Amino acid sequence: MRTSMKLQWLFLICLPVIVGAQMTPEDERMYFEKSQQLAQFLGEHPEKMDSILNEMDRLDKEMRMKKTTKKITPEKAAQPETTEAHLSNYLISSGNDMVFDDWGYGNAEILLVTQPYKPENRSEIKVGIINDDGRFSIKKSKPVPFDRTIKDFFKCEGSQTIGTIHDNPDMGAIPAYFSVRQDGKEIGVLSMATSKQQAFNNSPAGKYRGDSGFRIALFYIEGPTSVKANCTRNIEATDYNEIIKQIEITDEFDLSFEAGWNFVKVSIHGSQNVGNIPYYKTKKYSVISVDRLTDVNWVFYRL
Amino acid sequence: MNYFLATLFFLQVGFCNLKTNSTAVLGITVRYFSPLCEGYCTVQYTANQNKKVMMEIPGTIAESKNENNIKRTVSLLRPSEWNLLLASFSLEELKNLPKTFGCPGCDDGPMGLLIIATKDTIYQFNFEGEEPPDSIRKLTVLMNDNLFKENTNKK
Repeated sequence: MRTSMKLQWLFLICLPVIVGAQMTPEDERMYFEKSQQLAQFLGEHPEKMDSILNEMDRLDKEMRMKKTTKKITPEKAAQPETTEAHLSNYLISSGNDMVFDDWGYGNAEILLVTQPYKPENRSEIKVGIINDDGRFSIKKSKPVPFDRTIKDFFKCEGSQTIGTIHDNPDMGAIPAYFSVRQDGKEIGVLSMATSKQQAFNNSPAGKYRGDSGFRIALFYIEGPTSVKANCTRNIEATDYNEIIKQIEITDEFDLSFEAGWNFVKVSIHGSQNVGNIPYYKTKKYSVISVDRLTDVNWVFYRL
Repeated sequence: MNYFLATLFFLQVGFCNLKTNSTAVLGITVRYFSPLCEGYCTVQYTANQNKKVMMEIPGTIAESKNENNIKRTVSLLRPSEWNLLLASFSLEELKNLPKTFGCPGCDDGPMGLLIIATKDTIYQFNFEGEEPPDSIRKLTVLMNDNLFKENTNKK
């Protein structure tokens, strides 16, 4: 009871920052102090993590809005807030041609980076380049080491009662992604998806987003194996504002892997809104031949 | 043979810890704070059974304040990672420990703080950041080394 009262008190003292027009130096100072208080409160009450993170997100969003409000014209300010503000750092190719028309970051390298469980097993292999005109190419990679198994990635979550059928759950597997670097420094991430929204769906912030389309995930698998599952569960969904409610989502796995690199298609089917935020109804996982795809785009996320 | 028995003993102890802690522990925080520093003087790792959060917080001396925003990295925690954390300490043992180990902040090293929130209460321990006591050493190593150095590139 005491901690929830303290949390409410923190929300109240954050209110002057949240409610307001433009970002002033005083607002920035207050934002910094409130962020510090919330960070400290999170440390002292790890059991309240979800509600504190929501409050931090709300504080950050309000600060970004205030900063944006300073720059835009009165005509634009009168328009409602765009729902794609979270996609401002994304570029997308037109069609599946390997070129970004709006590329403005100069020459860069593309590295295939694996995501092992143990950091020492991480592989980084140069597989391509991006020219300063936005054209890029990627070549195939050699095999990479792995330290996790197929059951670590493809299984039902959130319930002990629903099973996943693996024909070989201990088959080695490792995910990978394309890192874009300049002078050894990572400047962004390259991915394949039907839209920027789909690429965002893959981020921790967008894990449950219901923006329609599909994206492609890259996995190296030790040998032939398959996974089948149909998992329905309830999650707590929020619009990062006032609404929090339980919704039902389903994950469907129908995967037949071959040894080596596999392209996993992760597609969204149906969405349900919580406030203005779309959450998916069903997410399907399948293995596809990337050569046959016609409606996929390349998406670059600038870090 | 001795090594084999020691491993078996360790696994059994870890399993017992996991079994006890999994029903009680709601969240864990490890924080390191260096009072006289510039830049990011506080690093805080927080985990519950679903997420892990790393926060880097600027110090409060004039030179660094307001130059940097607070950095926050949130990522999902796998059940196996959460179980690893729970198996790394004994809640029963912590209940009888002193609240402060050594002399945190007495030398140049960071001050360490461990907070474990359970259904019934919140346990808090202060320690010398570079010299955590044996009873929480494994947990602090897991929190600041293993769990938060991967996934940082994935957005």
